Amino acid sequence: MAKRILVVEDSPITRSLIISSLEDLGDFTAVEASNGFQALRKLPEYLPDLVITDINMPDINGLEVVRFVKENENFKHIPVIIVTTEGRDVDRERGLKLGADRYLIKPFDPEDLQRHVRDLLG
Amino acid sequence: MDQSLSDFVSEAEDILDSLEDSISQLMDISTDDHRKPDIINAIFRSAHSLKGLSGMLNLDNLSDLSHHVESLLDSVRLNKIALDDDIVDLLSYGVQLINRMVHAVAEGAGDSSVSVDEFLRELEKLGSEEVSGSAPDLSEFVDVPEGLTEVLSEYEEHRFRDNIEREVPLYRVICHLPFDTFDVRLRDLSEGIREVGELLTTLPQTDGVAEGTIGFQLYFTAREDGERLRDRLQSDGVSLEQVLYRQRRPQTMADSFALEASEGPEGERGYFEDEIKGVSNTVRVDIAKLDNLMNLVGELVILRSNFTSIAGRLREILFDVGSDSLLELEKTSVQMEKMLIDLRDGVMDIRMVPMGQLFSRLQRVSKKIARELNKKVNFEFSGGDTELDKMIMEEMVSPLLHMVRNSIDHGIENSEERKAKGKRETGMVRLSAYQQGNHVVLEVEDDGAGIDLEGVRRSAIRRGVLREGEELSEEDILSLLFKPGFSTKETVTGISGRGVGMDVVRKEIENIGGAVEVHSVKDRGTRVTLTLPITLAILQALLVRTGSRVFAIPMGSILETIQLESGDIRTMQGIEVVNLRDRTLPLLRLENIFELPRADDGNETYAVIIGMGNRIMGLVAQELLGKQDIVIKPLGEAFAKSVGLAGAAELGDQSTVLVLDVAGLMLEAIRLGGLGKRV
Repeated sequence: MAKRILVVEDSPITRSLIISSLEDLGDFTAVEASNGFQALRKLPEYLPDLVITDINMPDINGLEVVRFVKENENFKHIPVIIVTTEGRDVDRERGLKLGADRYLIKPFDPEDLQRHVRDLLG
Repeated sequence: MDQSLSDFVSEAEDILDSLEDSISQLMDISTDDHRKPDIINAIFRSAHSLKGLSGMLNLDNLSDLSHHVESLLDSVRLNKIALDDDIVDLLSYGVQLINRMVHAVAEGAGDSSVSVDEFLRELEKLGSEEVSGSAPDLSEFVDVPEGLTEVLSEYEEHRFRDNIEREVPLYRVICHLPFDTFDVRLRDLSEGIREVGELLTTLPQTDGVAEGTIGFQLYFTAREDGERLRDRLQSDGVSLEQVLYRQRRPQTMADSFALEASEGPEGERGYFEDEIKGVSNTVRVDIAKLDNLMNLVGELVILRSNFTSIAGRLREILFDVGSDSLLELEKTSVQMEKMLIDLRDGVMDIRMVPMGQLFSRLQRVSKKIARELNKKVNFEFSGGDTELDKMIMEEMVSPLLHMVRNSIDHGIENSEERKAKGKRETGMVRLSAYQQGNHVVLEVEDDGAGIDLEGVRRSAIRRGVLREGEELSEEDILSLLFKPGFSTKETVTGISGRGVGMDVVRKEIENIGGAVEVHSVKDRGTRVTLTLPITLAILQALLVRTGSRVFAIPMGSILETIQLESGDIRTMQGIEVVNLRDRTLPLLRLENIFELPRADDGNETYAVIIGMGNRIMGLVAQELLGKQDIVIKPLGEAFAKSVGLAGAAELGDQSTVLVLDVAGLMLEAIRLGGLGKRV
C-alpha cells in the first residue's frame, strides 16, 4: 500500500517543492496541511506513515505538532521530520527533544530529504 | 516566465501585501498597544516565509535580503533592539527593496539587479547584543506545568517572559471541542482573546479528552477583569482560569537599581535612590480602572442628589417645627456636593492627556507618507497643550491619520503644479486643536488643490447615488464624501487606498458623540473640522419631558432653551419651524423620530435649541425638568442600533431615562425629511 506522508507547511510553494522532491521515491500519497489546525485534523483522519513539518506557522507552531504526535498513544510511532529555516537553533533543539526524528534546514537538498524519508520509512 | 517563478511571484506578492499592511498597522498603534507584539511577529513571519521561499528557488539575493530584514525583526521582537522611528524607517526601506526585487524577478531582470548596499550599511550601524545564558523555567515565576517552556518556540517563550516581567495578569483557557468544528471554534476564541489581550500560545492537549473531541490550552495575558473575560470568552466546553504569579519574579530594571544601591558605596546610594524615586513619581494606570472609578463617582453624585430631595420632603413635614438638624443636613449635603465635584474633576483630570502626544505620533507618520509620495510638505501643529480624554484620543488616531493621508495624497499638489498655480513650492498641512465650551475642536487643514466638487458629483452619478441633472448645494456635494465606499479617485493610490474611508471616519466620530465637517475651496485647500466631546465618562444633561417620556439631552450640544407661545410654530414647505432672533430654525419632534404617540400640544411647550457643527435645530419638549450629571450606560443589544440614542442613564430615584445622541438625531431628522439644512 502506498505510504502516506503528511506535509505541514504554510507556504504553498515550499509545500509543493517538498512533495515534488519526494516523487522519486515512488509509491506514496502526500497529504497537505497548510497550518497546525489542519495537521491536527488530518492526523487521525489519514494516520500518515510520516510527518514533515515546518516550525514557524500561525496558530499552532510545528513544535506543538511534534508534541501532539509524540505524546499521543495513537500517533507516537509516526516519525517526524522538521524542516525549518536556518538560525533558529533553540527551536530546533526543542523539536528534537520533543521526539522529532530528523531535522532539515531550508533551503534543503532534495536528495537529503529523500535519504531521511527512505531511512525512516524503512 | 517559468511556471515556478510565476507561482513564486504571486505568492511573494501576497506575502508583501500582508507585510506592508502590518507595517502600516504598526505605525498606527500606540507604543503600549497590546496588539504590538502580534503585529511585529506577523512582519517577522512574512520576512521569514519570503526567505524560505526565495531560498527554495535559488533567488539568493532576495533570500539574503529577506534574511537581513528577518534578523532585524527577530532582534526587535525579542526586545534586543528597541523599536524606534529609525528602525521603523529602516524596516520600511528593507521592505521597499524586497518589493523591488520581487518585481525585478517578475520582469525577468533577476534579483541581483537591485542594490542593497545602503541598506546593509545602515543595518551594520545598529549591531545587536546577544542575550546569553539560560533563564530559569517559566514555572518558577507562574503557576504553569514544568515542561511548558519546552514546547514553546523561542519567540513564544520570550513573550511569556516579557509579559511576566511587566506583571500582566496571565490566564489559561481550557477547552474541549468537538473534532468536527474545532478549528472554527478555536479561531473565534483566538480572535476574541486578541481583542482584549495578547495570545501567547495555543497548545493541543494529548490526553484526557473524550472520543470525538480535541482539547486545547490557550495562554494569554490581558489587563481586564477576570469576571469580564469570563463573560466574554466562556462558552460550551470552554473555561477560563487565572494563572497565579509565584513570589519570585524575574529581575526588573528597578530591582537591579535597588540591588546596586544597597551594595554600592555610601556616596552612590543617594544617586540610585533618586533614580528610583524618579521612576515612581508616575503611575501607569489601566484606563478601565479609571472608567470604573468614574462610574462610582457618577453614582455617588446621583446618590447625593437624593439627599436634596429627602431634605426637601423633610422640610415640608417639619415646616412649622423648624429644625437645626434639618439645616445641618442641608449644609452637609451642599458641602458634599462641592467635594464630589472636586473628586469628579480630579478623576477626570487623570484621564486627560495633551494633544501634543498625538501630534508627535502623527508628525512622524506624515513625514514618511510625504516622503513615499515624493511631495514637499511642511507640517504645522498648534494647540498641542489642549487636553482631551485619553480614550477619545486613542479613537482619533486612525481618523486623523486618514485625513492627513488624504491631505498629502489628494490635497497637496506636486511641486510643478504648485509653481504653475503660483503657490509656494512646499505644501502645508496644519493640525490644530482648541477647546470650545464642552468640546475640543480638531482641524486638519491643507493648502492643496481643494476638493473637486464636479468630480465628486460625477462620481456620485456614476455610482447611482445621484441622478443626472439633480442640483445640489456645495455642502450637499461635500456630504457625499461620507457615503460608504465613496472615492473620487479613479484608481486609488497605494497610500490613501488603505485603511479607513471617510464614511468610517464619520462613523467613528459620531460613535463618541462628535461631528465632522468639510470645507473646501478650489485651489486654495481643504479644512476638515472635528468637534469632539472632551470626555465620555460623565456629562451634564438637561432632562426634558415630551408626552409621557423623559429624555436626557447632553448639555454640551444645547445652545439655549426657549419658551414657545401658541402661534410661534409655523409651517414652511411642510416643515415645522420657529424663529429665533434673525434665524428660522427647523423643529424636531422626538415622537416622530422614535415613533411614539404624538405628544399633547399644550400651551406650555419649549424648544431646546441644539447644535452640532454648523447645524442648528429645535427640539420640541413639553416640560424642562432641570440639569443633572449623568453617567451614560450602553443600551442592551436590542437597542444597540437605535439611531439618535447614545445610551441610558439611571437617575437618583432609580428611574432610567434615554440619553439622546444629538449628532445622530440631527442626521436622522435630515434623512427623514430635509430637516435641518441651513435656512
